[in-house]
Amino acid sequence: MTRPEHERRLALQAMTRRHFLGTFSTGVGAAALATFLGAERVFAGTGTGATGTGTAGGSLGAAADPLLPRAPHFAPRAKRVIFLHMAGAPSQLELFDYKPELQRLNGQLCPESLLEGKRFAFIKGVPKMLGPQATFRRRGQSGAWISDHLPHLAEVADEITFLKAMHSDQFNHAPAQLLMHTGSPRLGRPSMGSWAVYGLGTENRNLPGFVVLLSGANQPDAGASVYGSGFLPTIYQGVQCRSEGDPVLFLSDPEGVDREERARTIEAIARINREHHAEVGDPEILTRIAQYELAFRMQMEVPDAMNLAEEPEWVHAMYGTEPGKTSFANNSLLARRLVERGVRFVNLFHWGWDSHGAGASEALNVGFLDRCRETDRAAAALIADLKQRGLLDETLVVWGGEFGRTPMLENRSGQDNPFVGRDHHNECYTMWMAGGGVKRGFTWGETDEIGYQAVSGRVHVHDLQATILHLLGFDHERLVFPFQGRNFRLTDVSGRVVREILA
Amino acid sequence: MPRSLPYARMFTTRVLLAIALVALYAQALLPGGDASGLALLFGRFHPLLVHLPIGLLVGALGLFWWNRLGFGLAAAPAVATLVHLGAWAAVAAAWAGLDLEAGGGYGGDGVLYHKIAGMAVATLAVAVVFLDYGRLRQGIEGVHTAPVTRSHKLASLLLFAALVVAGHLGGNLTHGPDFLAEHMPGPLRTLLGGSGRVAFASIEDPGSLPVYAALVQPALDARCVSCHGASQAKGKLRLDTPEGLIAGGTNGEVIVAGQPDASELVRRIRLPASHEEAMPPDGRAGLSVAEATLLEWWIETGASFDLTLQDAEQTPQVSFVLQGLGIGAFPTGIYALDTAPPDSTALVRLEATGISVLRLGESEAYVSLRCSRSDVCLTPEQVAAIDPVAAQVAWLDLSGTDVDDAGLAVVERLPHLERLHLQRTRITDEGIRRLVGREYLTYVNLYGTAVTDSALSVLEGLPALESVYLWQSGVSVEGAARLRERRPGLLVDTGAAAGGQ
Repeated sequence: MTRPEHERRLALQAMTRRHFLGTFSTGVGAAALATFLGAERVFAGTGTGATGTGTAGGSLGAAADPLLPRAPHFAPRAKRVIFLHMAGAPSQLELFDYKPELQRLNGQLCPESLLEGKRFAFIKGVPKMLGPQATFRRRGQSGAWISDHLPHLAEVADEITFLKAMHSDQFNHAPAQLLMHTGSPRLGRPSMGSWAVYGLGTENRNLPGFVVLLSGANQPDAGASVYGSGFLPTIYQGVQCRSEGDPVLFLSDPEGVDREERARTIEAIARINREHHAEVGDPEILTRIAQYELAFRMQMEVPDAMNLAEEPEWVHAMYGTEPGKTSFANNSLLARRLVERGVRFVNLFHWGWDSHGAGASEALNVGFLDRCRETDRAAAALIADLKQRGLLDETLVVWGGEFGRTPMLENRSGQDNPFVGRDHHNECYTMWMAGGGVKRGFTWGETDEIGYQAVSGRVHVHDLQATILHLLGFDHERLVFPFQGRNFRLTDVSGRVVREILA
Repeated sequence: MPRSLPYARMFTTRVLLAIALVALYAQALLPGGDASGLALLFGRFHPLLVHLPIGLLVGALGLFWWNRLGFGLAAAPAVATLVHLGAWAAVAAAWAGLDLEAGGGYGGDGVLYHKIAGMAVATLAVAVVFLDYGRLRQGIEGVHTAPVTRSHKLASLLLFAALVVAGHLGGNLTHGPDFLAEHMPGPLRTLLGGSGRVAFASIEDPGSLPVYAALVQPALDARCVSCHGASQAKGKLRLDTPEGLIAGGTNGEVIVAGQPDASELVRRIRLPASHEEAMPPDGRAGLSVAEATLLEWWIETGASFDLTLQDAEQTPQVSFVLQGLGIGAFPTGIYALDTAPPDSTALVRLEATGISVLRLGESEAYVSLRCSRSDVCLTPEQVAAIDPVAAQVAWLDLSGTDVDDAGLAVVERLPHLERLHLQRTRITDEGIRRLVGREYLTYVNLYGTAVTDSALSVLEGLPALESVYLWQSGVSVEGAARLRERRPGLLVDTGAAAGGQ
């Protein structure tokens, strides 16, 4: 999208919203009434955005709604993305990257040649090698190696493309997570979900186009910036929904306030906002108005979309969900319900994979196993469930951490330690993708015999992003936004579509 | 009484000519040492000198036949003089040719045949000169020129033939074998041995084209191989074979796989024509921008000799070039059709009826439609709004809506429907019958509907169908199994619980 295109959109947004709200003196209230009367067209936009058909004249509706579906560069293979981010970086050597040679070297000191010129987050001196802390088996017809820690995922191995030689520039959590989701290790860039909604819009205007679901004991290390909108209008930022209690905070009307009064309140705030915008011209004010309207619409559909109790018992058994709790399983099921309703991008974060071995909760032989148990059944169920509903075909599921872990044992204290762990390693690790236009039962990339360096099929984080955008129908070099004097894009100045994994 | 001709001097020059011819043979056949500087210099005049025998001898033949056909009366001595001068020029040109070859860079059958033909021209020209001499003498003694003997005629015709062959082969060495044939009609081109150029657009599966053989080598053949090929390998570089490309020349390797910027071949091609190292030199037409783009792309993708078009990642520039060749994209199904883009006003109206519209690509004619609200789907108003863009509707998502069999009548108006979501609707077998004739339909989702086995015959008859989802429908396990049997390759998904696909 070029600068004129962007400015035109902002201008249209400004003009038509004012036009819309000005024409109907009761503003959103009238719109809400119209919704109840079934006159959906009052809400419906006239613009199809990037197709260049958006005009302010003509029909009654508000044109150029930033969330309306728009034209990608080419026909998308995936219409929706579910990104399962395992925050903390799960060890590939215990899950997918089977290295019998490493078992042989277990306990031996790491040769100096492997350490020369390398920096680690915590390892100092000469560490010992650590063999796989798992048993492995070949699974499915594709024969993919999956450890026994993931028995459920093993059942759907033939749906998955494994990227065995992912690599990142960063070996600390927050910058690596930012790089994974925003394309830059520093703060301030829009996240992948924001880019997707900026480019494609959403198919359900009563729900946010980009939803974020968190589980685990903590937020992702980089905080809400990993799903922020950066310099894109904030209407594109990820909306965090909670899987227990009110899915979106303060979404219910306060006690004693009915829907009509709510509408009047929002309209009053919008009027003040419009006056303020007329004075200072900040486009963010327009976003604020749009967000209030979205929130108002969300009140209608979000409670239903997030109501897991509606699902039959066997679905709960399949995912391992327990309604009313915050869990990765609940979030996975929510993700399916959201994509079913046309949400473009759902980002799940599950925290707690940082297996250094400095304590039980972060040990490969304790906490790591808990993380596997918390996620394995639900991730596999998500693939199987999407598939039987015919949605996997056009929904891309991505799983992975921000980097991988070393084939060396990390022993920070240097004393006898009942817990085993590995340090951060950014030069090779495993991620997987399933559905939406990627090959089934396929493995791309290879690491050396101890899983320390990639040997072939290396995929940089930017390459992964270029590939995801490609599957969504975008040329990653052309999905740009002008900011501070130049065009920015998710993959910045690099990125290569990994054509080898495309179905 | 005609002035008597200077027989003695005429004879002397002819003897000298014969000696020159013998010396030429000696030069050609006897092994020589390193060519001298003067010889090398003389060799460079070969391309200039070759034009003299052609002009003179063709002129003589022209005059001869002009006379024979009775158009005029050019004096026989004039014709003989032209032949005589032409013979000297032929000997000199052949000599220079031998010197040029001695300078190096030439070899192969093309050069050998050209040399034989050139020697034949010189030899036959000298022969005709002697035949002319005899005839002139007879003619002068008997006042009128003597009749042309059969051997004289034969020698003249052979001379002409040798001239054509030598000239053509020489031209091939200079301009490349396809130069003359390039713009000839097909059959004639094949006759002349020109390479049959691949007509890309007619290739059934352009994705399987090898990038190197189909896109890179032809450009090198056209622009480089006349100097860097089998017959002439300047700088010991051959660009006509994979081995030659890998081996490089006297200045080392010319391609670095994956790095066009580090490849000498690319550097030379990119240089401005005025630069002394620019290739091709001397203002000769170099690679076109399109050809250079493809060459650089091929090197960037690893300079593989087997990589096929579908496996090579295209940059936007490369896609543009390939599109120009008619092999940019490999459209199938509806994308191969010439469907007009949708009317944008119609899309706006459609959007206003509560149907969310997604265009399937900025240059694609097709759209994806989805009902924004489950309880307001395919109303008469919406159906009327779909009508103007019916030919452009490729994907239709009615999942979870109130649509019923009657509402599905709209599908009959959508000739290019490719994907259809009907899951969790009230559709029954009755509605499915409306899918008959949707020849481009690849995906049908019927999970959570009351559709039964009797709908399967309709699905079976959809020629393009690739996947059908029947989980939680009325279709029996046996029915699904039968469908799989009759349509091998079709994905028939009946859900995870029922054993997947």
